[in-house]
Amino acid sequence: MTTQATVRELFERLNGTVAFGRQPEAIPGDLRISWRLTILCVILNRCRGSKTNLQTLHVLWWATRSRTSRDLFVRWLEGDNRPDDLVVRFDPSLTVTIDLAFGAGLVTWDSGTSVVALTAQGKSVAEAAWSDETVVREERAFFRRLPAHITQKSMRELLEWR
Amino acid sequence: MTSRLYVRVIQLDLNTPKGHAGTSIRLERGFNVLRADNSSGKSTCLQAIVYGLGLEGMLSAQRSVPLPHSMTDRVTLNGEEVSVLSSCVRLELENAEGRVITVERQVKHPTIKNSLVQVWEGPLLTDPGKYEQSDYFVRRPNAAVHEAGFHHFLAEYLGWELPQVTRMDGSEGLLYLECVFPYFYVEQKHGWSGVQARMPTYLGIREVGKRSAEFLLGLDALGRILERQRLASAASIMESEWQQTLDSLTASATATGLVLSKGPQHVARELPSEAFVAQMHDGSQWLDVDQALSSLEAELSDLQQRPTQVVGQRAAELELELSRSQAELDRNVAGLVALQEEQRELAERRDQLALRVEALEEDLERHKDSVVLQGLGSNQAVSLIADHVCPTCHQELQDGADITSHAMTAAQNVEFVSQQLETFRAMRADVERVLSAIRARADALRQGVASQRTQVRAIKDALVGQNNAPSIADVTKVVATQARRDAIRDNRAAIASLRQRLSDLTASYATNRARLQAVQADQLSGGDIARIEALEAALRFRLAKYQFGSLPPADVDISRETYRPAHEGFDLGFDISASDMIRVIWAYLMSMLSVSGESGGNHLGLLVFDEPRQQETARESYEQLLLQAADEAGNDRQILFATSETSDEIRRMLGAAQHHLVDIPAGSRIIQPRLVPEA
Repeated sequence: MTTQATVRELFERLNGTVAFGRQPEAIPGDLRISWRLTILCVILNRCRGSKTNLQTLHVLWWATRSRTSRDLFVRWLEGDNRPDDLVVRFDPSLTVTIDLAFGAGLVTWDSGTSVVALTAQGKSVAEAAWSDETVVREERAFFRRLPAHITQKSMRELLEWR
Repeated sequence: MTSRLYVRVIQLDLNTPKGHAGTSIRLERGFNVLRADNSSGKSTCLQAIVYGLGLEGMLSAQRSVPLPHSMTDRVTLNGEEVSVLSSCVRLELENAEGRVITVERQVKHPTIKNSLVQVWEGPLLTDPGKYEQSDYFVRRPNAAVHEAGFHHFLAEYLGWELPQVTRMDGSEGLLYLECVFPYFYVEQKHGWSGVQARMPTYLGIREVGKRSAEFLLGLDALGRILERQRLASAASIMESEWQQTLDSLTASATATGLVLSKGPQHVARELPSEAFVAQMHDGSQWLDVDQALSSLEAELSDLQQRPTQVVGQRAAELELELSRSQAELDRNVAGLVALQEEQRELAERRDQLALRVEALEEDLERHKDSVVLQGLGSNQAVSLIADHVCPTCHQELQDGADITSHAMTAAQNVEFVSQQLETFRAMRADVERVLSAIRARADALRQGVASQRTQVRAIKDALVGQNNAPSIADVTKVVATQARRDAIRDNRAAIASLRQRLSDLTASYATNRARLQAVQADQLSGGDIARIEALEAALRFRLAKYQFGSLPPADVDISRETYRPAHEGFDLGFDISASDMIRVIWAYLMSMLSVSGESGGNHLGLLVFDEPRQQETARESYEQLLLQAADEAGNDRQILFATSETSDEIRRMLGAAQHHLVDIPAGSRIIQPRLVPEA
C-alpha cells in the first residue's frame, strides 16, 4: 500500500476528529526584534553625539554580527588590512530594523542627511542594556576593544579602498 | 595488691545571694550510717560521690547533672528559698596506700565547665594547706585513656589495671569505670528494682555485666578472654607481614627474571619446601636459583671459549635477517601513514564541529539576550515591540517574519538551540576522544619504527663491517648472559632471606594457633570455679540471714553465664516481691565484696547504699543487714548507708556494733548556711 493509502486507512479507523498542530520553527537569534533594536541603540550610543550616517551604520552593524567580522574590523582600524579580507558593508534587514526603531520612538531619521540619531528613550534602552553585564556580552566586549573615536577618514578608507 | 577507696569527706558548697551554704560530712573507715529525714538532702550527698568522681554516666545516658534542684537552682535555707548562683562538690579520698587526694567538680558555675575536675594531692578539707594541684577532664571522649583524663588518673589512683574488652562493633576499648561502679553504689530511685537494673549497656561494651563481674572477682576467665584477643591481633599482624614479605619476594624474583612457584597466599602453619621456589626456565626445564646460576656460568664459559663467529661466516644469515627486518619496517611505516591520514580527516571533522558549536553558542546568546531584553523594554516603559505589533500600521509583527509565519518564541528557541548545542558538543567530544586514541596508537607505532630502523642499521653495519670482526649478535649474547648471571647472583641472598622469613612466620603462626586452641576452651579454670562457688555459698548464706522468702536460698544459683543470681536458668527478679529483690541486692553486693577480697579480686571494699523507698523496705531484715554490714566492714573496708529511720530506732538496731553515725537532727536539712566558705 502507498503511504497515502495507509494514512487514509488509519484515519478511517480512528474515532473522533484528528487535529493537527503546527510545530513552531526555529529562527536565527539575530532576527529577534528585541535584540536587533537593542543592538541598534547600543551602536548609536557608542557613536559621537549618539548619531551617525547610514553608511557607517551599515558597516558597524555588519561588524557586530560575527566573531570573524568583529576581529576583522578591529584589525582594519589598527591598520592591519590584508588583500584577502572580505568586508561586507550592507545588510538589507538593517533598513527594516531602523524603520521599526523609528516607529517605536527609539531613533530619529533625517532623510535629507541620512543621519540616524538616538532619542532619549533609545538612549535609556542602550544604557540599560550596557549596564546589565549578563546580556550582549560579546558585543559589549567588541565595543570596548574599539578605539574611542572612529574617524570619518578611516571609515571612508574602509568603504572606498580597493 | 588490694585496691581500696575510702571517702573521708563529702562536701557540698553553694554560693547564694544570701551568702555561702552547704555541708561537710566526715566519714570513717568501716561502717557509716548517714541518718536524716526524708527529702532533707541525704540522697544528694550520696549522689555527690558519684558526681565528684565523674561517674554519672553509670546512672543515666543523659548528659544532665544528676543532682537535684537544690544544687542547681533554688535551695531552702532557714525556711526561705534562695537562688543558687554557683555550687560545687568536693570529696576527700584515700586509697589503699594511704594517699589522700581532694577532688573538686563544679555543679553550676558561670565560667568553669563541669567537665573540669580539679585534684589536690592532699587532705585539703580536713587539713587545709598548700597542696600540688592538677586539672583533669571528665565526660569527654578519651577521658579513660588520655593522660589528662580524670578516669585515667582515677584508675591509676585506685591501683586498677582495667582490661581491654570487646565492644559491640568488634573494636576494643577499656572497660569503663561506669561499668564497674554499679557494684559499689545503689541509688534510691531505680537501684533497687533489679540486680542489673543500672548496668550501663549504652556504652557499647559486649557482655558488660559479665566483664565487670569477672574483673571484680579477678577471674582467670577475663585473662583468658584477653589472651584470646591478643593472640588474634598477633595473628593478623603475622598475616600482614606475610603479605608484605610475599610481595617483596615476588618483586625480587621478577626483577631477576625468575618465576616463583606456587605457595599459600595467606600465612599458614607450615611452608612446604616446594612452595615459593624461585625458578628459571632454560629452554627445556625449570631450574632453581642455584641450578640456574651454574647453568648460566656453564653457558658463559662455553660462549667465551668458543671463537665468536666472524661476520663473513654469518653473512648469509645476516642478509636474511636484514630483509625480514626491512619488510617489517616498511609495514609499520605504511601503518603509520594510514593512521596519520585518519587523524587528518578526524581533525577536519573536529574543526567543522567546533565552528558549528561556536555559531550555535552565539545564536543561543542572542536568543537568551532577547528574552531578557523584552523584559527590559517593559521595565523601561518603552516598547521593544515585545507585543509584536507594528507601531505604525498595527499589523502583527512576529520575530523572523521574513522567513516564517510560525516562529518559536525566544524562550522556546533557547531550549531548541541548547539541545542542538548539547548534541554537537557531544559529537565534538567524541571526535576528540577518538583523535587522542589514534594519537596514542601513532606514538606507539612511531617508537616501534624508530627501534626497527636502529636494528636495520645495526645489521647493515655488521654486513658492511670487516669480515673478521666478531658478530654483534654473538657479543650481545655474551653480554646479556653475563648480565643475567650477575642479577641472579646479586639477588640470591635477598631471595633466600625473604623465603626464610616466610618460613619463620609459619613457625610463629603455628605456635599462635596452638596457644589459641588451648585458650579457646571455654571451661572455667579450677580457680574460677572455686571463686564462683564461694560467691554462691556467700549469697545463699546471706539470703537465709536476711529472711529471703520467695525461694529456698539453696535454689538460688550464681549463673555461670552472667555471674548474677539466677534460678533455673533465669535471672531473679521476675517472680519475687519488691522487698525480696532488695534482699537479693544486699546479699549479692555484700557477697561480691567479701568474696572478691578473699580471692584476690579488684573490689574496692566500698559499698554505698541509698535507702530504698519506705514501702519497699523489709524492716526485720533491715536490722540483720545493718548488723551484717557493720560486721563485714571491719576496719579495712567502707560501707555507707543512708537512712531516714529515727535516731532512736537506728541506735537501737545498731546496738553495740561498731559504726560511725552522722545524725542530722530531725526537722533540719543537710544544706545549711555557713559563715565562710569551706577550705
